[in-house]
Amino acid sequence: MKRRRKLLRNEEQQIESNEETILSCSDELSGDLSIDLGFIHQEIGQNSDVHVRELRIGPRNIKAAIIFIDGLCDLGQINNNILSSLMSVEDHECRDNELQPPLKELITAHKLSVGKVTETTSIKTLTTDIMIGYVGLLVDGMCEAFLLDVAQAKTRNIEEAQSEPLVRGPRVGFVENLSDNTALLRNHGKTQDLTIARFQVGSRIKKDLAVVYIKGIVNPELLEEVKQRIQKINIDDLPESGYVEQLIEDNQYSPFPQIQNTERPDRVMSALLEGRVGILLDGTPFALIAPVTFNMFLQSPEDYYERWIPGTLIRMLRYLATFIALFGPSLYIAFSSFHQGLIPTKLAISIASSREGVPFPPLIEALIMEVSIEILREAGLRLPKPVGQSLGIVGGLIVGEAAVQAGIVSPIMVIVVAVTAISSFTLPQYSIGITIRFLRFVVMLLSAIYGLYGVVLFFLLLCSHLVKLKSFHVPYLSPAVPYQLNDLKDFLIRAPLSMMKRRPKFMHTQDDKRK
Amino acid sequence: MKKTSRKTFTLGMVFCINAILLTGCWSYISIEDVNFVAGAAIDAEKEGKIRSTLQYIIPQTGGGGQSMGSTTQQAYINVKETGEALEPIGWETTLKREGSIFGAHEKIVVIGDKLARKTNLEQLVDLYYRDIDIRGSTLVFVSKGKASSTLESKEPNVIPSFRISEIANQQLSTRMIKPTTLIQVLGYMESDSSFVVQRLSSENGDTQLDGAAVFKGKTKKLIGFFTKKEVEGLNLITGDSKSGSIRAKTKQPVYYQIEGLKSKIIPHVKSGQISFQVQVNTDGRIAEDWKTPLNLFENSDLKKVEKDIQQQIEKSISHTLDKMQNDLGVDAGGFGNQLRIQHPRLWESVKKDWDSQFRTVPITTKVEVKISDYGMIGEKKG
Repeated sequence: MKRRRKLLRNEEQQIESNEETILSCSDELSGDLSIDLGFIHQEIGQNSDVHVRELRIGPRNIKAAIIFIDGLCDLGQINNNILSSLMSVEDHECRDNELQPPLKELITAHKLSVGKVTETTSIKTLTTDIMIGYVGLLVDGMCEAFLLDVAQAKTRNIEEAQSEPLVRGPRVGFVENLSDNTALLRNHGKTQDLTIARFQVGSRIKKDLAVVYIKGIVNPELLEEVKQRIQKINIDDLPESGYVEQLIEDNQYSPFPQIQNTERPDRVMSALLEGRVGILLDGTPFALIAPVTFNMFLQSPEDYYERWIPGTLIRMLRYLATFIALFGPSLYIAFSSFHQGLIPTKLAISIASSREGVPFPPLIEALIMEVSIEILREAGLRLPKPVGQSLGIVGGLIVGEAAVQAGIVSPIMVIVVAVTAISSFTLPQYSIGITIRFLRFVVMLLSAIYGLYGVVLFFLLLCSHLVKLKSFHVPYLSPAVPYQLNDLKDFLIRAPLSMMKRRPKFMHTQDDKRK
Repeated sequence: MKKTSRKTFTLGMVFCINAILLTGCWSYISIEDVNFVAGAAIDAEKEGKIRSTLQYIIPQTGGGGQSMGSTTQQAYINVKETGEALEPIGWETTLKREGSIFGAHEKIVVIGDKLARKTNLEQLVDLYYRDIDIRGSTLVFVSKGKASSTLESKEPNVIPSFRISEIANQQLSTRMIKPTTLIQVLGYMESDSSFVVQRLSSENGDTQLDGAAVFKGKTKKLIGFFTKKEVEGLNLITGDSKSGSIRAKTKQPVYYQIEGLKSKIIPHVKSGQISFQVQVNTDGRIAEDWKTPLNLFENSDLKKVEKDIQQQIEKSISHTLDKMQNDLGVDAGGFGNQLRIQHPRLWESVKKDWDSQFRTVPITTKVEVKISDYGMIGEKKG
């Protein structure tokens, strides 16, 4: 019984594979120009932007046709390097008929003055490549078609990174074009060890994706892991690198981002030199850096560009600001509604008098202000820039002042919320900013229920989560946990450059000396 | 299988939510609903009852500092109630005014002298040590006359308790003692040693620090007072003072201002005989000189003044010692403590009856005065 079933299955498989070969047979080009053009027309002819230009090649008078998509190709190149040379009747080198090279060689070696030429026999490949910007060349009597790369992508100029502005540092940000971005990286770090591996992702809409790393530094296991996870991506389209990030991250239920995104080539480059891997996706200026550690989100490239003393101080300031952004309102709630005895007497009296006549408990008061400031921020973000700024002023100043005047919130609450909001702006990465903002509400609720005890509970919970979290097998809180003394030089403080002679230990790099 | 896991999940959620909802907010109280007690006063009342005065702070409405200048509204209110002990009085108070009593910001406790004379202090302040709100750093005072009147002020924006605690903590003059906190008082009472507490007196709504009250270690009752002058001597013995002035014994006023004061009580034991030496080292400046025949630019005259001041200090100390040993008959200067530190075995044998032994202990004083600055008026002759 069992054996019979197996046999049956074998038969089925054979039938299937037969069908496949038949299908692939019909996919082959026939060699007859008019038939092949007919096939192509069937595949993509319904598109209005497909252009077919029939011509005759040079002195031999062979029928041929080029097919291209309007706007994706450089028309100047088509005219000068393809059409004019193909149609040219001058054939100086090959007067002697017997010495004339075969047709294929004639075309590739003498006629086409285009850098990248590939051949294909498959109609399917031909049509898909035409659709992404190649020029297809069909020649009567040949079973191969030529694909000529004269693609001209619509790109913008290189501008400063919008999401990560610096006072001091290169005014260069990535653009939407992948090859421009890899070129930017190569420009930024001129070393032959910079390796760029290309992948194709997306099952329906094919997108190029580049994994960049530095050969000789990167840990091969990490590289293999990144490549594997990218190959496992199975989705029809990846419009932004955020998709890649979400599909390859370790823990999708964690509120913390486990892959860093950046617009700055210098940031990517310095990460690569630490042994990390960069991921660039075509169509977005946001590159990904993996693995990531928590402190990377609180660091700005400027920490390194400035001298180490201001760099260290500013970094510490940022840690403090993160603490305020996370715990500011919740500490206010806890102190003012549970632990009045812990506030200095005069402050306690002034808080009490400022809360006199406010109808809501501190939690509701804090929620009103926090939610409205989040609304303002979101509104300011979505509006055009000049309007957004004035909205901030209107919202922040006028609404805040009016709310105090109307006695809905207390003036001290406005101060707390404003300081919290400003603190959260110091976070150099938008993605961690969202996380902190979200967690702030959680800890506010906990502090309203349990007071300071709740805040401490939340902090412990947060710490245990962060300690457990890993990004590509690298602990999220390293080098603090697991403790690594040497790497602490670049954690809370930023030691002088001459003291940081080694790459991070937790990255397990092949070559850990910075020479 | 799937059904049971869902059941456990639901059950787990119920437990978690219950843990939050049923236990949460158990000590929640909004800051504007508590009555901050700034200070308390306890007085004796008829029929052995006591009368407690709690000074509540009234938060100024209309946004803190803004309206402070314009309002004539009082910044505090004194809530009075009588009863057998402090606990029932507290509950009685909550019947009269909304909000619970919140003692974490209490700065001072004033005890009326009548009450302190007849009631054991340990019983009187027992509540303060049991209550977790009230801090050990709360200062203890004894009042001359009614304690409740020390918590009154004519200026509307001043909270008397805060003013008193600030004056006491600044401790600018030698005519007031180092502030005594509740926790220090507890220490004295537990070790049965006598101690002094700052005294307050109030006249026409003006409260001032006026001498000190002496408590006997055994009975924990008030037994007498030091005047301001005697407090000065006490401070010179203990060295618990930063600044102050001493008048030289001249016709016209000449005042020495203490800038540095170091005192040491050295116990001597010779064949079972206990004696003490008080060593006082002070340096300072001449703060005022009403054109006496002295010329401070002459070293001989300066030495004369130093000698004079030294004698005044010795006199002041011996006056206080005399009061301690002969009048009150208790050790309020910490002599016993020094003996305990230097001769712990001997102390074990004498500590039981120390106050009465102290009466006859010989005490010598050794004072050194150095004038390091006498201003710029005058000239050197010849």
